[in-house]
Amino acid sequence: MYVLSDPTYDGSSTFFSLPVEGMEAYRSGMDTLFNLIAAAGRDNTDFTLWTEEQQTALWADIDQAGIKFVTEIKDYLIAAGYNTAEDSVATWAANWGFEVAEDADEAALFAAMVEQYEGDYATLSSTEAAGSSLFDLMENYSDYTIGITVGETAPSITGIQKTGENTLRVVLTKVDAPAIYSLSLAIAPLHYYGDEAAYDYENNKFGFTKGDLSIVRAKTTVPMGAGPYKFVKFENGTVYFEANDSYYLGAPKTKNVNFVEMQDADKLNGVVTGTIDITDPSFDTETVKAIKKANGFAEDGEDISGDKITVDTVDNLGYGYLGISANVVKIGEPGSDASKALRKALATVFAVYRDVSVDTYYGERASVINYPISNTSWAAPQATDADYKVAFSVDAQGNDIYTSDMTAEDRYAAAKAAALTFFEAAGYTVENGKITAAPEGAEMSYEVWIPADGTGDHPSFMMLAEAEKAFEEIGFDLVIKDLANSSDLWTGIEAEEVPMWCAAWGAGVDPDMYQIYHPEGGSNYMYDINDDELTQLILDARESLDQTYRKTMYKQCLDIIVDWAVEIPVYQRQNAVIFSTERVNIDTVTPDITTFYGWMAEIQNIEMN
Amino acid sequence: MRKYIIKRLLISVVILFFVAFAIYALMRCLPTSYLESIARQKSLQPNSKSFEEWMEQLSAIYSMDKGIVPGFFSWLGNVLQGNFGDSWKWTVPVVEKFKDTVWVSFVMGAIAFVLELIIAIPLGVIAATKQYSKVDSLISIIALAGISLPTFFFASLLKLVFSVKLGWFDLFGLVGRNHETLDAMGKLLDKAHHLVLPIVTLVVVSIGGLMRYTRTNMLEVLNADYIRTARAKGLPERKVIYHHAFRNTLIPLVTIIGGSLPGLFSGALITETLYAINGIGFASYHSLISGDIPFSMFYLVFLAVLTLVGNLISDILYAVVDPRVRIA
Repeated sequence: MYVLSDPTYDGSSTFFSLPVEGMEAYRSGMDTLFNLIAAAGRDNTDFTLWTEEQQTALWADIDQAGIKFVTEIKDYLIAAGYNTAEDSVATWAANWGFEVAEDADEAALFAAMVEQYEGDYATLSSTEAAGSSLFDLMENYSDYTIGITVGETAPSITGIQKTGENTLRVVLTKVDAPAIYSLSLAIAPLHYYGDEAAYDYENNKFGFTKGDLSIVRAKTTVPMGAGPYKFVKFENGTVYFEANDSYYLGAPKTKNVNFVEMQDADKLNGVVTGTIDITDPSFDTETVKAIKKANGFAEDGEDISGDKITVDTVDNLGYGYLGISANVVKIGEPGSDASKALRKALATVFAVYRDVSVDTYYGERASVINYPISNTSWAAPQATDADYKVAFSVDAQGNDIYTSDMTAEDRYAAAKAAALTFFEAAGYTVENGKITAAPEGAEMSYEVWIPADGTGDHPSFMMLAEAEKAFEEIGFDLVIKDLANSSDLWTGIEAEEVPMWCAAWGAGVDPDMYQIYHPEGGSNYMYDINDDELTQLILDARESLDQTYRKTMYKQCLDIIVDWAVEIPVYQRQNAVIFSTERVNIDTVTPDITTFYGWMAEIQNIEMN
Repeated sequence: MRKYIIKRLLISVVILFFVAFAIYALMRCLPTSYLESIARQKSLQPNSKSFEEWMEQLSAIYSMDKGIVPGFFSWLGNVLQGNFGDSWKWTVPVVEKFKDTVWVSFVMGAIAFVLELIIAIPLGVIAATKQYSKVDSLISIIALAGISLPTFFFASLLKLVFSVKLGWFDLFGLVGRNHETLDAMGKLLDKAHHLVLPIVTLVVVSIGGLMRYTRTNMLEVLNADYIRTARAKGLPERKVIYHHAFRNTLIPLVTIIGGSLPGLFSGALITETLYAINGIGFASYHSLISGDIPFSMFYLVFLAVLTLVGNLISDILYAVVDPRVRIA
């Protein structure tokens, strides 16, 4: 943590930006020699902190790197056909967005860039690079990455507190619920990345000299972890590992572990034949039958683990859904009442066929969910909650459409009738139980894309097939597009060509919804949901550690998402890990496997028979 | 002859240029984009730039912000300097990945090819000489079964019988779990053991075609006048068939054999995937579906070169085996 918090750290981690108590005091009062000389300028005559030679050498290095930097831009422009080799610097600089004098040379252009960025070389480099970064082009950049004390700087971070041989506490200055997951850092061995002689915790020595990360930088291309196994080689489709006898939780009981590349279809038979010992097959109905058969159990029996194969199942950290793009399936604004009604009409019909589809594909290995959140999350609403509702189970007037005594056929009919009320509310013309015309901006037909290998092999495929028939009965045309290549789906969604699609979300440990539902979230483009109330709730929920309060906030978020009808939650499935009972000593596998704590967490204890 | 070969080589260069351009244009038009996949992954990271910004940046880095024609010439310029670039998917130089994967495919392909010749040609000759007999029918049935069996089906069948049921072979992979503990000979035998099923698959699904081809050509030759003359002269049947008839059957067979040259290096996509063997077929398939343009270009252009060379060799071999053909 001290490496990642060092004032001279310039790697990709943003650990130092966490509101850790004492972080600012530790990082202030020190800067890199590069930053200090650059800030002092070429005319500096104060050589208290560095020598004149150092200053002269740095500026010379920056100048030569600057010429290489702009030359790369020139080469890029010529290669791209924007300029020719004969063009003047001013001509090709203009194509890069800089105006310089007609007789300017490369050095003058670089000077113009520095002026525009007000001497901020880091931003200049990251923004304008046409190939290498400015610092990579410098010959002696590493000489200037040393930290120089320029004021009062704390010797340690008060918020990072060692509490035992292998434990520590991190204290934050403000509530930041997802911050705890930013503390999940890889453990690095001190003897390799640091200097054991420079470690004395009580005297604020943390294995390296503050402001000098050269010992770490020298190892960035030859990394070493501190896990239970050491990487040996990758050859013939096999990754070879051998035990790390120095592992801090004890030397692994099994000396060698091989990770083998294979097809999903071979996983189960791989264990049965003895080619492999542990794997994680797709846990569908066919796999369960095959495992029972291999263990000599009846297909319809309860027993699954046996003499040949031991099975461990946990809920998958994620869920299956059907998405609807608010920017494609809309009437007027994506958030208008008519747009929501149109999407609810579609969602109501899809939702009623979820049970039959999931049951057929997964059997007991999955269940239908009613909120767009994985059941593994503590924030997921439970069926026993007072305000828990089945997704899309009301009509346009807000009346419940299902009763407990309905048969499946009754429910399908009720869903179609409710869908018509939504179509009508959206502005569609409904006559004699069928829609006959669409309002302006809406269609009588929409596509739904599903990556089912072109063969219908997908847990949601039956839902679509049944919905297609139901929509046809009420005068609407649903077009199912079964994709052989799933990447086509993501390309289509990015291009806003996909009205509806079936996919699955992988979830994180925290139920934070920023990524998907906040307008600034990286995946927001998929649904294009932009709701002020939802946005504020997401931000507010981040600022509390009270799980009950946060759960209430997230329930409100989920209700808003369901109201927008951009996502129909479909299934929560289980994952399975299977072990060869014959070859793996099952008693040595951790009995505490959960969604968040896999079998590899205690791999060092596993023994073979 | 030399003039003819030089002329053919020059024509081949022109053909290769257009083939390479067509491949490049098709690769650029693929719906799968490696850069889009990477940009999508990166844009999903917390506090990351947007997908569009990543695409812009990655396109510049990977020189994909040019049109197809300038992009092709840029690629060609690099290739002429011996720079095939780095594979995007495998993150190593293209040539290094090729070297890592091609030899296992070549060995598999070469052994399968030799076995194919050894089995298919004699059976084809026997079938032709015993036309409409029980032996001919049996051979034809085997040939048709081989032609008709899809590779994935036959490979799965072999795996089920010899691996799952009988336990004679590992289900997949090129090496066994104890490979690293074996001595050099043990390692070689381990690999050979793991290649048995893949090679059997390749041989069985390919002998049918060659066998039928040999049979048809042999029958044609056996009905020729000079064969009747040879028999009339009282030559022994064995000499008629193997000295006169078979030598003439070789001419069309040489075309097939010459055309098989690229196949030795192209790998066996389905077989390698089913048996999880990291050969060139496996690597090229994964490169293609992930939109790895540098590796795919190298692989496909390499195959185009081999095809052209194969055709040239066929033409030259024609002259060698057929005294009637002489190239001026």
